[in-house]
Amino acid sequence: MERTTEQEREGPAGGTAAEGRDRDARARAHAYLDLWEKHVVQTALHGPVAPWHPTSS
Amino acid sequence: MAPDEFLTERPPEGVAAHRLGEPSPLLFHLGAALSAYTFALLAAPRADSPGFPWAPGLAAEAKAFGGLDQVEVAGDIAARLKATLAGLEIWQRHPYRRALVDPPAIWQAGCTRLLDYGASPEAADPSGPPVLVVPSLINRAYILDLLPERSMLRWLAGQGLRPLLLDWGTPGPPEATFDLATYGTERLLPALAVARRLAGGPVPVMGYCMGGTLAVGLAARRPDDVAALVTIGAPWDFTSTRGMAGGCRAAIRAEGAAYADRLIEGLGAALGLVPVVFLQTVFALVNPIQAALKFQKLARLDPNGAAARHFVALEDWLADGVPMPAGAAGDLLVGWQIRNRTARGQWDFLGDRVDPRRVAAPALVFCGERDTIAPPALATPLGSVLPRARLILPRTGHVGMIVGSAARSQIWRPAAAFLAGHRG
Repeated sequence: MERTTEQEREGPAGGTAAEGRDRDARARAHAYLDLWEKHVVQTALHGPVAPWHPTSS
Repeated sequence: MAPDEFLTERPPEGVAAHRLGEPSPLLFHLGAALSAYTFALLAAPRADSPGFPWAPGLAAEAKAFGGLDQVEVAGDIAARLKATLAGLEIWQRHPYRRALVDPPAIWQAGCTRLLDYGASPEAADPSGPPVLVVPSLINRAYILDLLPERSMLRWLAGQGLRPLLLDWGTPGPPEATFDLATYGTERLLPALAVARRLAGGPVPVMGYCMGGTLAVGLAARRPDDVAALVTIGAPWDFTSTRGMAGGCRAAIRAEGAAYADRLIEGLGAALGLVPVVFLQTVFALVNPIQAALKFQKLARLDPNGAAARHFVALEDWLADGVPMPAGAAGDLLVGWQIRNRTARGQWDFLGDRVDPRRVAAPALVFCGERDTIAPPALATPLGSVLPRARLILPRTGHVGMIVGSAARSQIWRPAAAFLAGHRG
């Protein structure tokens, strides 16, 4: 099994390197969604002038 | 759940009946969250693309998100949606019930009462200088008296002032045909007369949200009767087309305001009043995923702690909306929001056009930097158009100005000092 090979052992935060990669992928997904929520809220509250509005032309 | 249980009106065990199906519109809130997260999943493979239209200031941070694992993203989304539902259930099952008792009413007309906080147990001086307090028509007045430790009015009473809260109540048959002008002549003016009598002269007026805008109208049309003016989160100039709320205004303006007039009139004709769910949908549009995010936050709190109790109290208030007469709703949602009659000098109130330059009283204008209901673009113009105004920009949101943790230091104290210094 890939996760139990000698080379994969002792990843950066304990456990195997594969587990370390999994943790990293989870952390990055979590951080991405935090950023996405900011994006949605900022767009909802401060998004650009509506393109159909006269002041945008 | 057995099929026949859908036919009963009994809430599931432990769920407060008044929180069942809330926050309204529940399907909108859940659908908006699901939609936003679905787009997050779809966008994940291109999150670091230079052409991706991130909101200003976020693109640099997004560069770190190349090669995201979509399965991990989907898993995190599932956890967030689960936390939203967990938070909803914590609120629905929470044992908190508001126990504050209203102070006595010293005047009443129809469903409107004038509540005397000088007679509350917290009052330092029952015959202290009266302050007429005008809340919004669109929500319950008790946001100003939410919890014993988060009650602006009881705190002001404790400072020696005598707040007189104009509690509009729930419109009944006498109010069903009211527009804002009728509320002005039939409710606001008589309440001002009562307060003026108690004060023995001109009286300070403080208004919150659209109540602040009404207070400006009152102070402009009756300058000799108003000693001082405080507005908190009061919108005035609806020109802005930023964000969802501004985009909706622009879309309706493009469609023609008469279309919106007919919609509101139709709701009133069909249902008697404009229903709460319609008004709550309008609020929900401002920030569609706000509900999902805040219930996730509740799920992270100690359900027995003070922060969760405050959350529950506030959420109960939000869910406890009031329907509006079609005339008043039309004035607010179309006359103000779409036609911008307030800032354009076209607002008829108390018998004539409202010209804010006629407000003789000194004014204190609070506008929360993080206010999303009456954001700075809508509320700060009052600081310019009122001749004797001082503008204060606390770092809070719309409701936070009244019940937030910073409310006492940033709003209550300066408001009390101002009111005490201009007691008429």
